[in-house]
Amino acid sequence: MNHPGETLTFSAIAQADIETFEKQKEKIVTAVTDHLFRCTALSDALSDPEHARIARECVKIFTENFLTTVKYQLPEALLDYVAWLRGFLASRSFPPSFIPHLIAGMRNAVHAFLEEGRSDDICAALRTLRLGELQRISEVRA
Amino acid sequence: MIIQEQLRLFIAALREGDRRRSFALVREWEQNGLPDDLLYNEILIPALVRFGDNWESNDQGVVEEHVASQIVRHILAYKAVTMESDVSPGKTAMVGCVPDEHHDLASLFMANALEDAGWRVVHYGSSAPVRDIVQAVGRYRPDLLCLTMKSLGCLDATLKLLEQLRATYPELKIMVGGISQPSMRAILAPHVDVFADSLTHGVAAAGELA
Repeated sequence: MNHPGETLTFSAIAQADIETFEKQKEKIVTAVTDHLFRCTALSDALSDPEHARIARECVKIFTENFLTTVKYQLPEALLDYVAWLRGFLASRSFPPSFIPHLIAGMRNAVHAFLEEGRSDDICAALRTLRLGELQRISEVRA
Repeated sequence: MIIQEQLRLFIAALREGDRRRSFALVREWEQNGLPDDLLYNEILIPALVRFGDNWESNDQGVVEEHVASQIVRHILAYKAVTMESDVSPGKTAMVGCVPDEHHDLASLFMANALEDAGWRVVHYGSSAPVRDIVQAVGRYRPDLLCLTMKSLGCLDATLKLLEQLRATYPELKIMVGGISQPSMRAILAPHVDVFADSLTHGVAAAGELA
């Protein structure tokens, strides 16, 4: 299987969809945060106040960085940031599944807040990113 | 004393949060003739990188990282106040962070290093919006604008700033430091004269631009 960096691309995402994402950014951040705090796989980790604070900050910064990298077609920069985030969270005992859940939450939110059909290309990029993270987790476990 | 030993002593003082010891070390090395460029590039910057790495890996908390940063900030201020370089007329550099960027220590290093190299420096630090930076360039009329950037989230505002600067002051030389990602550099490149790879490179490149 290819490394996700080899396949992640934002070139299919239309400018109008990026603008809509930007307009809906606050709602997306709220929805992703809610998704993480409802996720039973993360409930133990996020019951700790410091972990909960970091999780909220992660959602905000990830959303900003995702938007910036999509807007300027910088998939490598997003992958660099996700790699940094992976190490940052691991050193703070976050479960490895946190980032895939974060990405899944964003896919749901994008689907919910962008008009039908307009979310497909952003969701496809998020799916590629999430698969890459899941692949990494399974490689580490193996 | 070899530089690695000086770095070790300085990091130990920072780790204790010992301001007096940190300042005394710098004074002692200064009296023994340690050049500022070695102090900056071989001791202060590597020490800050170490503390940043330790925060990222959760070996130290954010307060310890801030304590180290504040001590270095005071040392840079001391160096700026006591500097005895000759400032050449007509060579002005305006130095500060891109909009939305709050990590301003790199710009402090650059301000000191450029003054050391004979530039007149106007240092505005961080938290300045696009419009105000553009207006300030009109007021101070620098030959060179040195911008530092660390965070990906600043890209949008930085691009807006650079587009406005290029439209308003086409002759202004612009240097950007802190970005290593080739694809990010490629986006800013049409508006930037040079990307600084390091403090030393930035000072040398400034000299060539002016």
